[in-house]
Amino acid sequence: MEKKSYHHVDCQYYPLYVVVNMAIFVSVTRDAISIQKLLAEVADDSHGALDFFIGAVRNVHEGKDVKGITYDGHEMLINKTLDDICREAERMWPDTHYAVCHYLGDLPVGGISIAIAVSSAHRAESFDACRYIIEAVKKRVPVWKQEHYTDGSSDWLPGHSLRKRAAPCCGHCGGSNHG
Amino acid sequence: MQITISFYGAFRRLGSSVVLNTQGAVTVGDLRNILVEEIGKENKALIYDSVFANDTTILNDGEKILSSCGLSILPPVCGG
Repeated sequence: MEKKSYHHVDCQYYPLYVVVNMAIFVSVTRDAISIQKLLAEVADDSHGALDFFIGAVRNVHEGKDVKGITYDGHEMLINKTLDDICREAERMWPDTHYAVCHYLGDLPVGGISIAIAVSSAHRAESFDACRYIIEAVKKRVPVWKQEHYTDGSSDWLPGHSLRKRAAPCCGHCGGSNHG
Repeated sequence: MQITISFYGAFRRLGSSVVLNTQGAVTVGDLRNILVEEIGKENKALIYDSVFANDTTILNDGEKILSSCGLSILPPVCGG
């Protein structure tokens, strides 16, 4: 039987929001993402494969020298959307476990913005499901990036419209290549 | 009635939110046009590429808003 609960943990050392069920853990945080915690969430003695994706801030974007990124987001909808995406993946790759944490706030170059852990009995499912999660995150999760450049300027990056009738993306990415 | 629209992403340059005053019930599509009038036609393209949402759901343009409430406008996303 599925156990699901929503918590609002307004504490400096814990994620702002957490959605938990037996196989899925998603969260939003304004503190450094804990890789160890995500690993622990997907650990299962029957799973011999664990795939991990970590997104980090690059120092250059389209020829501009980047010094950092501000991540803005709708916290409740981030959690709901992450949970929806993980459930979709779980249906496609049964007996997989998921732990996803997205950062909000300011990050310097090298800072970790997202971490995704997927475990499964064998490696193929973990690789495929982890790729599915990050691609869906980029197109569906309500997060926005404001890049800050070394020349002192800043830009909000284009993204993928959530409107069904709208053009499929920003026109820059070919549908799947946003940084 | 009053509908408070919270801003995210590229809308943040306009502040954190705007309050729209409407005469009775409106659809989300109506709100889109009211917002264009309120914050300027220079933002029309971004508004039309955005969606309105409450705390749990993205709203279709045909949905009716029957009472004062708070909503968000979500511009194109780039998570990860």
